[in-house]
Amino acid sequence: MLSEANNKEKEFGEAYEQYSDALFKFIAMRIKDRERAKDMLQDCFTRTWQAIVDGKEVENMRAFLYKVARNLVIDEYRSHKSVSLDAMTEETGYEVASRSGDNPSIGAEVGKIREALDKLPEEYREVVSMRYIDELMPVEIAEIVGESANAVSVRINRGVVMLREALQIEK
Amino acid sequence: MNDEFLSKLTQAARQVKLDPSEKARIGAKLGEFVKANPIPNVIAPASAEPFSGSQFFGQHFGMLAVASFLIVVGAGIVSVTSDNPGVFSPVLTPASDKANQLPYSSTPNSPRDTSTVSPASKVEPVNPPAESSQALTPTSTIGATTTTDSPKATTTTRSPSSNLLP
Repeated sequence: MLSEANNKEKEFGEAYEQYSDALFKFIAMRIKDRERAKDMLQDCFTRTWQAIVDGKEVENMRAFLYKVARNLVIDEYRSHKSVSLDAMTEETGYEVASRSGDNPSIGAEVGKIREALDKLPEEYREVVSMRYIDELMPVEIAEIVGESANAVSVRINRGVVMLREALQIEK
Repeated sequence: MNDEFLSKLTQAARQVKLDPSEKARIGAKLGEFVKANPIPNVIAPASAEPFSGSQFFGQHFGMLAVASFLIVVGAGIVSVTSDNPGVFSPVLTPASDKANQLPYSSTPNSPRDTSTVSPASKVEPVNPPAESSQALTPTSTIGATTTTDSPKATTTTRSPSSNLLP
């Protein structure tokens, strides 16, 4: 029993080392508030550990962490319901993305892409963001959102088509 | 789907990173949280907790069960295979052989000792103290049994052929 607890602690520590950067990106790119994203990242890991303490068997730690982070982001959106996403964007700009951007023109271009992405319906925006911002595979996205990999792949393709149309880019 | 604009989006997103100092600070807080909220039913290190018999039994229950089963089976095999179960009893130890006697057999006042030691007087004639080393050999025991309780002796005396024949 002791070794099992030690193993879980060790696994949890390794998960933090391995996934904290990606999870921070996942949260920060959606919340667009770096300080708040750090708090939420910590919250994501404490909630995950609490679930383990409560006896939850976590088979896929990475997917579980993303699920928790996704729920936190949804809660954050709900708590700021009165503030629209556009308003949040205007408030904070693309601080998170442009902070370390080398080329301002690329930053501006990415800003336009992100703007178009934010205007996509939620069901498409989420999977496209997971695929091209978080670089998750469709199978991983499927596990996080609780749908089949095929359904996720179809939605990603449709979302990209919609994004391309919004940006008036021809294939 | 290798659209250039998607590649740019991916590249831009890769720039969003947690500073190492921030990562270390959050990691330290998480470490404290994990220590403050350990997984329940964890057995503490042996040095920090006194010995618990129930825990020991719980941990080694399988070994104890197997050991007691083997003891019971072994005792059963011994009792079944031996012609004279008393051979393995300390009661049959010759009275003169003090070195082989168990401590409790030397106290005649003990009620347990009187019941167990008393048969020694019965055995003594069969295995005299002078021939104690030879008397305990299997051949001498079997020989004595054969001559007294031999089925052959019974057969010869009650032979059906001898009775039916004219």
